[in-house]
Amino acid sequence: MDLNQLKQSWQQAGTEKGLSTKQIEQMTKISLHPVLGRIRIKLMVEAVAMTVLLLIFYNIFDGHLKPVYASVVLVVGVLFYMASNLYSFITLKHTASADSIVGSLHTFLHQLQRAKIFSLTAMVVFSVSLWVFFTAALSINMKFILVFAALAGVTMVFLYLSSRTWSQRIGRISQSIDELES
Amino acid sequence: MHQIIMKNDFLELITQHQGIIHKLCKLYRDTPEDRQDLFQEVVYQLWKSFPNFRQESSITTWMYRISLNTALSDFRKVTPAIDYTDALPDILSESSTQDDDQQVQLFKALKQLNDGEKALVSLFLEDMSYKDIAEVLGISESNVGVRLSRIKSKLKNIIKVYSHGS
Repeated sequence: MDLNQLKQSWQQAGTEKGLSTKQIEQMTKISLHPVLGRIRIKLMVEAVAMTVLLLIFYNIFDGHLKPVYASVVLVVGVLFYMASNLYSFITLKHTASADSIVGSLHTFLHQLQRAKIFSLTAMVVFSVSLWVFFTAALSINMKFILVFAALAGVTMVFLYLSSRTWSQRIGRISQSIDELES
Repeated sequence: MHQIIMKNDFLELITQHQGIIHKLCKLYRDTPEDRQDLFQEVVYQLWKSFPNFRQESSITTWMYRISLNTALSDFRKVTPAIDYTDALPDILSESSTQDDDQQVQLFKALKQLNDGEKALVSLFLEDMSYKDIAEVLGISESNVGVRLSRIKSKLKNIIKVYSHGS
């Protein structure tokens, strides 16, 4: 098969009976999107859980016995975490630009790098806010150290997993750019 | 009302030119599930970009631009490596004719290239000029020439190996 036959073969490919207009219309909906639909559900579940936490933490976790700064820090931590989730979702929703492919991939790469920093920072801020809230008004004793150690351990695991996922995404885009430019 | 008209125009165009998306999904993904996911992602991205499509370029060029952009930036699931010894079961290989055999050979050869090379060669095979390819990809025209020449000899070698093997 020579190059002309390759061309001919490529141009003939994909001409068989395809999907119906109705099937294609379904694919324009975000709720049926293979990845974004799932991320959106996760985002909504987390938003509800965080909102519930904001509504009940003061009564359930003895907010009135804690200093005001502890409650403020927790609220800020929760809001920051929710904002980072939303930012990540908007970044991943990324609309493919009609500009050049290399230019569009460069833009997306920068957006992903920003989202990674925002997401990891938010995770640390949220963990610190939980730690500040639950250890406020506690003297440094075994309970204090245990809460700190448990939260630090859980945070490190989540930071590692999240960082790895973001790095894989970023690495994939960098690789595509390299393959197009080199 | 405007939205409905726009959507109808969009659906008509995509239904008519969906072959482009099928070809690129087959080129960039190995399993029917992954191809279906990418197809859906491409259609979603095309729909999102459609309001900005000003018909300065042809519908084919615009579809290639968005589809390749999506294929290269989409986060696929990690799947085991696949041995391309048989025809992949999907829309492009439903009947078995000589043309289909050639298509199987074509995709087997193209799948040996990296993702960047696949993008370049798909535009070349669609009969786009070097100038258009350079514009779509965002690289210089001379770079297109040099790289296509390398890819062509790579493809010739791959096909030669397959011909001797069969």
